[in-house]
Amino acid sequence: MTHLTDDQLADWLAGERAEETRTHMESCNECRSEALIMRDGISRYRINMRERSRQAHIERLATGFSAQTALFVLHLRWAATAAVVVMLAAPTAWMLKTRNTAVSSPQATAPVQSSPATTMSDDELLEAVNNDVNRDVPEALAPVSAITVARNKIAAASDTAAKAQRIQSTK
Amino acid sequence: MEEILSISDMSSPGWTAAQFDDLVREHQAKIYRVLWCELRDDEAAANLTQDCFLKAYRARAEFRGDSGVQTWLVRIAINLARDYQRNRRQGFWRRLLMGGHPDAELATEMAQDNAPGADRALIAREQMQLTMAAVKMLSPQQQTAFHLRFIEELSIEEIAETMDVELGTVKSHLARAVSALRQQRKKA
Repeated sequence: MTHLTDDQLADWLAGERAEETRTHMESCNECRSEALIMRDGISRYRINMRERSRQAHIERLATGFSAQTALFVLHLRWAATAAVVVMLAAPTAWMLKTRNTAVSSPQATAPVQSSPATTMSDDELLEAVNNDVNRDVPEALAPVSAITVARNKIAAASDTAAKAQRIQSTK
Repeated sequence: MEEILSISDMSSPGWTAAQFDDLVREHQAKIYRVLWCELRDDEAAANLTQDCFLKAYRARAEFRGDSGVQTWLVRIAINLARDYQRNRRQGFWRRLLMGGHPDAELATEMAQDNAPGADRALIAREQMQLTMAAVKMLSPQQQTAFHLRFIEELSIEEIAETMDVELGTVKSHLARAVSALRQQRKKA
């Protein structure tokens, strides 16, 4: 036996009594029992939801809930929001102000005056760049390199002297 | 509703303020109930009820009477409830602060309120919890269709108009709701 579909049962629960559904309910105990229990549950749900909302509505009216209250709450919310915004914005504004002051101070805003010692002419600058490009070792290793070069010079000089001494002694 | 009711001194094209005052008095309880069933929140339902009538009043010129006034108002209320649910970030904080599950508390409260004997209270509580659990399993759209059908007792056509969906969609939502109820009963 085919029992009631969800659609048919939904219609029956809402009070619509289609002929086919009615005939089936008369002959099918299972569907009739299920439908009656569900109808009771929905009915109870409806009554209680209505009663509960009615009580809540009455309580709202009894406690003097009004547009003025809503407006006050709304204003209160806006005030609270504004206070939070101010609290958040104040430190940021203070930080920005401090930074701006530092930036706009005479020391910081004064044009950078290059000292005479550091002033380079174009030719000097070009020469410095050329020297830098032609450098054998990185600048950081320049002192080590200088020591090595000096040591090599000394070694070469001593070699030359030794050679000369040998030549003299063989003669 | 004071703000809404005090609009009687304002003129309104096509709809007198006095008529609108009557409309508020006639429908406010129902609109509150629709919103309360959707949201289960006393304060939100009250605030949105006011918003609903305020919105209706501002849009009164657009109401052409194609649908009933009640359908029109319920549609506004449902849309407001949707917007509210979408934006309800404070729900987390409310649950955190208040603790417990409002539905479970509500089910117990309802059952206790309406069942004189212990057995009846037990049965009522079970039935309430079954129905609530089944409704809770539904999508927001399905819940709305279920409430409009079984609590507000609107017709399929009225629900379709209110929710701005096809008749077939409403039937599908209701069938899904009944299916969920059946499943819940089988589990129990």
